Amino acid sequence: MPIAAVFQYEMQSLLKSWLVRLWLVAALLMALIIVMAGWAVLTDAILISVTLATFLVFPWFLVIIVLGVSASTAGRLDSAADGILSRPIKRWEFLTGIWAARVLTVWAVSAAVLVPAVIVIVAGDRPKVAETQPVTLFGMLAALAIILVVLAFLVSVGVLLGTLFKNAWLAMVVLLFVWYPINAILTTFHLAEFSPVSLDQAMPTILQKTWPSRDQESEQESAGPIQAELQRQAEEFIRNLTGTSHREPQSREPEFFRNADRYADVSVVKVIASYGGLTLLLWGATMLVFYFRDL
Amino acid sequence: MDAAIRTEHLTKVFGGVVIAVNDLCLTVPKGAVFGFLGPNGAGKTTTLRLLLGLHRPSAGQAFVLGRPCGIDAADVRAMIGFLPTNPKFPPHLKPFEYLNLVGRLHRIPSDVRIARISSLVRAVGLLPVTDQRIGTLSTGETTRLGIAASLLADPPLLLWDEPTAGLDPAARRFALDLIQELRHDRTVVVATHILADIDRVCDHVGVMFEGRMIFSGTMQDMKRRLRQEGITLELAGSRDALRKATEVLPNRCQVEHRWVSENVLSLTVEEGAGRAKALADVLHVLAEVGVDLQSIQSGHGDTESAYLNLLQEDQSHGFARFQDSPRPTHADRGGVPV
Repeated sequence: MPIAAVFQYEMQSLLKSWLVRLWLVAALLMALIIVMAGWAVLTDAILISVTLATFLVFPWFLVIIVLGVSASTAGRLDSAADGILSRPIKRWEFLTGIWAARVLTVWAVSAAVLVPAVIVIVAGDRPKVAETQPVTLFGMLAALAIILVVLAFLVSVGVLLGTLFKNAWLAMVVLLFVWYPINAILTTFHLAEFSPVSLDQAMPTILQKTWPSRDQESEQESAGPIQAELQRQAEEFIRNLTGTSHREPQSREPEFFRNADRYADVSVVKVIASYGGLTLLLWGATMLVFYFRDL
Repeated sequence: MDAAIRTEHLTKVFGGVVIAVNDLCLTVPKGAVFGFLGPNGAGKTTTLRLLLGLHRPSAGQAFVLGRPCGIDAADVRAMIGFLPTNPKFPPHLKPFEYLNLVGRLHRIPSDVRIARISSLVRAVGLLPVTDQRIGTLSTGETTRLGIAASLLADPPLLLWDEPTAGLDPAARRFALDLIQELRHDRTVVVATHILADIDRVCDHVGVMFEGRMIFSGTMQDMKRRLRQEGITLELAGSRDALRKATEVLPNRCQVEHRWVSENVLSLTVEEGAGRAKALADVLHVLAEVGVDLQSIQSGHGDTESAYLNLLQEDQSHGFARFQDSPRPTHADRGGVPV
């Protein structure tokens, strides 16, 4: 019951907050502009992926992190200590209620923007655009599942940093200094599943996926020796460090999604499991930090 | 004697440098109205927060109604009604919504909760502001809301931190009257540095200074520590009558007297003499010599004097204060003899 009470209280606070209201309006507006701009020129898969990029990469990524960071900063915990944590509630119950409310709010805003956008893109009477492969139901469900788990992960990153640093601004600065190098390192090692940028590039492929058959699964399992792949990644990392990389510079839009084929073997289950696992890990770390904190 | 609160060498050091609570050993008896007295920064609020599990003790332990306090001791917090000093409650909620949240945290069933909140809102005088957000309430109204929240679950122990801070005289009187009403069926701890409040409502007192408890006992014990128990009389009469009173008093009464001004007489009851009898004798003498009594003041400044004496005594002890602290045993050092 205390978790439910805190969850409800937090949801109430978030729905009344100007940040969430403005975010919803701005996200709807941006989605509308993107859909209108790509209406006659982009394929379904690319147009959906561009819309998703606003949440996974920029700019809503920052709003999501801010929502997470502000959950447990010092100023906020002052009022929580006086009003809530001095009552019969355990710390894990409080933090779980707060975290769940923030994740659900982010999901709700994203769904409120993305679901109508996807429906309009897929079902709308658009001019024929050359399409190699159509968007599938499985692809859309898989993309939705990935988006939900990545958003939960981003909120968890924010909550952990807010708890760790108490000061919201400091937490944000640290995040920016840590997050972007991590993205670069993950990209170097071809761990596409761990990088939201790469993930968004893989979205057109994911959206066109069909229900996996047994043959496909066994094919994936026996793919390439792991040792050789690791060696290749290490060599590439060293080339990057020494400035002798032979990779061509990555281009952004409109070529952002041009090489989506290289993500053909991306595993939806692996992505969800990785982000899900990391989210649980972050949640645990946040609990630990919060448990040892004086209020 | 059952203890509502017991602490054993409770210590809190912030960041490894600031000693907020220093080896605190305290017992608050059940059913007492305990005045937790001390200057600003003495460690009163930190002690209350340690009891609530909002802070983690650096050493020692605390018990509330026999149960150990701690970060996750929700069962202990369920027995405590806490009123923080200058409370900061969720500013966007309305009083009823906040009290409903507190009731849910206390797992009070909905039907009981709503009825109880309604009656409490009325009892603390918040009916006119129920449609306002907490952020717009005055200090007095926020304190009243905090009082209502602390009483919502009908806990056996109330911890009120500076309940009269920033209140106007009417609100202050309300808070003190309420403490006197509540004293009948629960333990109340009032942390404050306002001596008049302690004097008015408390039957036990603990004096904290620089993180240490330098006195703990009944109010009578504390006042008895005064070397001089003063009574001040404001008199009206002719010069002759007053002079005659001065001559007669030393012979017939067990008091020492001193003229504070032309018509204000300060009396000090001699060691071992009863205050009531000594005062009766003095009044009898004054009546005989034709001096009228305008006013009498006794005990108003007693707590203040006793309190200041305690602080001075503690400071004068210097290094001797260290002797009272616990000594490590062989077992503490892993059994190695030294």
